[in-house]
Amino acid sequence: MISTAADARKILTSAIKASKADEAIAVLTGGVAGNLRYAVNEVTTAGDTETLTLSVESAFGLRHGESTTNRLDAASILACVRRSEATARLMPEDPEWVPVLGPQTYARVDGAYVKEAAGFGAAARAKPIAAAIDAMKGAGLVGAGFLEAGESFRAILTSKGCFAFHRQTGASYSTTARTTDGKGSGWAGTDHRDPRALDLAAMTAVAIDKAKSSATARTLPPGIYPVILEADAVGTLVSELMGALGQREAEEGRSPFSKGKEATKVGEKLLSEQVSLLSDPAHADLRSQPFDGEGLPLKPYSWVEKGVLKQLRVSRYWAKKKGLAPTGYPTGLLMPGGKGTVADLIAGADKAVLVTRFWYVRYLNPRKLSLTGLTRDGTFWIEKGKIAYPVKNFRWNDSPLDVLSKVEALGTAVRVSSGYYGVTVAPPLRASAFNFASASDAV
Amino acid sequence: MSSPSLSRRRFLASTGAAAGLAAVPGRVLAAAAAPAPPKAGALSREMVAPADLDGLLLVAQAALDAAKAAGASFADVRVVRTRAQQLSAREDHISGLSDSESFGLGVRVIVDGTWGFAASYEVSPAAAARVAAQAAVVAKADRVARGKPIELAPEPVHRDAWRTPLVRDPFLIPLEQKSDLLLSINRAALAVKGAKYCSSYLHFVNEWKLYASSEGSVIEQDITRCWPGFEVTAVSDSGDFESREHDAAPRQGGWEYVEGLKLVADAPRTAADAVEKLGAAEGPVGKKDLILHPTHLWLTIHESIGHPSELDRALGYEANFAGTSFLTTDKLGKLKFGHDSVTVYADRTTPGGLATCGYDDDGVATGRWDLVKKGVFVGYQTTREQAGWIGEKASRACAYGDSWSSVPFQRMPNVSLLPGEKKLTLDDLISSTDDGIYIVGNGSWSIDHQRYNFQFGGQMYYEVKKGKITRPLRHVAYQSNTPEFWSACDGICDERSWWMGGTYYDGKGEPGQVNAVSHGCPPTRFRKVNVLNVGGAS
Repeated sequence: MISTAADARKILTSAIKASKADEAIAVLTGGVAGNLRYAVNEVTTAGDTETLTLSVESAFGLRHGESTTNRLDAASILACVRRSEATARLMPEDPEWVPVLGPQTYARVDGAYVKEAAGFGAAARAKPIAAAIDAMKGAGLVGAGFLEAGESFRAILTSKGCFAFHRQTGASYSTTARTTDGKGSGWAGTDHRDPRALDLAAMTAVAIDKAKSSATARTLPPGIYPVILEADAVGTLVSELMGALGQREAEEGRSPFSKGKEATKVGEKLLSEQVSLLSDPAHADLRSQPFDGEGLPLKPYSWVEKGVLKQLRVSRYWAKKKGLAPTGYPTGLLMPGGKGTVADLIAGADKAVLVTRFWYVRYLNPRKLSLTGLTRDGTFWIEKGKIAYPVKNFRWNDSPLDVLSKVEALGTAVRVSSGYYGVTVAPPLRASAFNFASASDAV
Repeated sequence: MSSPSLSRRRFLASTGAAAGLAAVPGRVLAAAAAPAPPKAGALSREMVAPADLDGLLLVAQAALDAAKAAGASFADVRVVRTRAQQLSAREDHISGLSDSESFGLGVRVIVDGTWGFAASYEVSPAAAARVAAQAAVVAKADRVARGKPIELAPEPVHRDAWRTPLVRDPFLIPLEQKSDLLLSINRAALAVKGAKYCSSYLHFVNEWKLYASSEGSVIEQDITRCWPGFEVTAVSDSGDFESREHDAAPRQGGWEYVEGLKLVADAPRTAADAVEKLGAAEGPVGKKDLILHPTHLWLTIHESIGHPSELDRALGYEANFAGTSFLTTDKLGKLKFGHDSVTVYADRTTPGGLATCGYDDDGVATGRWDLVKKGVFVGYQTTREQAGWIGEKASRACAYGDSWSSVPFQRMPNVSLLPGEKKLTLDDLISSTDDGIYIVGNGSWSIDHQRYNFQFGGQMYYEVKKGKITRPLRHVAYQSNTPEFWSACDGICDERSWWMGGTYYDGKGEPGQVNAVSHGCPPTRFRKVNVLNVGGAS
């Protein structure tokens, strides 16, 4: 197992030294991860996996090619380098190729790697899961869940001397409780860089409570209702939003942030005052990898600030072409919240649908960032500040741009497992309208 | 599961690796893939064979021996080497080329009725023994959270080899030929007025795997898949845009499949479709008869029949992620699922099907069976562990792990709609439809976690009025639930227009795994389905 920058650099150097290309970038990734699944109140599958992968991209002028291997003996590394060169030579020129980076300075990210997390092995995983299963059985419910913990690293070396290394630990737990008649289902989940910080018992209790309280769901007619979205659902929406924030797509008229033929909506207030969206690898809540896949330093960015679109994502190619600063692709995403819990959001609502999480979210119209998806594992009707009764699930058709422009209140932001980025932190929120388009009988 | 006499599976140590191999037909494959000098323009041939088979069989034996020593009642080992090559072109240039290989081994054990798994990128007898011991550590640790012991349905011992039938290995086709194809597609598409962007790609995957079990099976398989495709985007003067994805399907096979698709010849028509969509009328709202082309319907079959008939889903084993199923076991053999004309079968032997192979990752020989027969739900997808759950004597061979580092579990076989017995063509369906929409290709899709409520879009939509296609439409989606939809089926064309679509990216499990799977069907009509317009404000 590679665990230090020096070890990684040694392997990467052997690849870069062997390179005969004009320029080259080598990337080494790896890690150890262990997991445990349970379902129907017993463990199903579990395992420990170790991985190590070397990828080399070689360029001759504007011709480039990439080769990847996980065999890291000297001969295999050399063969990987030669394959990337052979393919690069055969390629036509790519006008969008940008030369590899030279030495860079990265933000210092403390605490991404928690040393003690490494000891979280099979026995450490099995014990809290056995307790979770006992809790499920004790509640007369059928439980399923997934616990994963491990460590990973990414290291980059270019032929121009850019070297980057980041190591992190991570853990996640999620669980679903269902009633034996299949009429109630509840879910809870979270992730953290330290597996010891995951409160499995508390998560399991939330899932159990939701399963029990959702079993007598009534049918609410489809329509537009005020909504309370728990943090996991908001994590999905902000991830979709972040994905759509490309400068190039906006300038090419292909995005919701296009304005006329070449301009963008940067500087316009598009979302509610309470909504901000930022990425910053060194932020205490994120502690994410401080460089992107090309070794570009990731700086702090406010993509959205108090509802105003401040910044779009700029690739190195687009930056060069348009004379902009490249932003790279963020490795962590934070939507700051307010104070208070989901219970506080409920207490402040006259009428609303409470959504635990989303499922199967897909684009309907990329130009408008409109999406379709379903609700799942705990959907409730709120009336006069209280949960009135559980309701059947819905298919919804709506856009993060619409929901996030109708925000009434935010709860405290938490780390969610629904994000598409390395680390995603989002708050629960209450919004004045959400389009529940059709009923779903699924529980 | 009792372990058969170990002497039966000492196929290596008793005779020496090389001598023992003579009995293993898999040898044929390795010989066919013997290293040859790299040729200019081809990826080096040394990537074709992961290592000498004799050595790998010793690695497998070391894993099985270590598992036994650690107390395993059953163990199997997969040594897997996956190669992928992806080539993409954007407008007038090649935008990406990557080739990758991933090689490693994964060991599964059952100790005291509990599964354990471990995997490593290190492939050597010593690493295999270490990994097998680790798998046993995992199994022993998890015993505390296990109820009933795992039992595997019996399966004969197999010593065999299976390989994708192909004429030309896509990994040996010169890169120039591949990049020429993509750039020619883009040129042909962009020559159409109004077509502004064109992205094309080729994605080849080869899975080579050696399976060996403590029961004595030794199986070598070599599976090759090809996925060519492209997408054209047209932009109007006002900045409105529409895209049209070509309907090419991924298939198992060789380069001859890619060549046979005539993608360059199809490019202008695909570009013209994108342009036509820009000017198309807004889709209607309300109940319409739908005529679904196979390039669209395959995905509806995947989502609404393929997934709910997974036995692990039905019993709650995927409740925490992919979800459960409305096809619970009490409905087996009873539930009227669809119209009498609807028969849907699972088949891991369909030629060209992405999930086709000789043996699954439990070492079980593959086959064909019905999931829905004359409208009634009659069958599930199973593995060796699952067969006994519904009282079946043998597995349906649906175990698959998407990498050496992934634990095998139940994954979807090819699931297809049986063509109609009577002669019926697409033209017949259109001419007998009074008020409908004809849909081609896959657009946006989404289905709930019990596989009831779904909403699907396509690539192209055509209004059908009084038996004729009248005009193109845009922003169409239909929304229904599974039994209602399949009950509304009233016209399945015959075998002449049966066609198979598919994907590399059928997702399931935690940690998430992908599965490559195909679905065949002819054009089919569904009466009075709820149609939405999804082009509005949100």
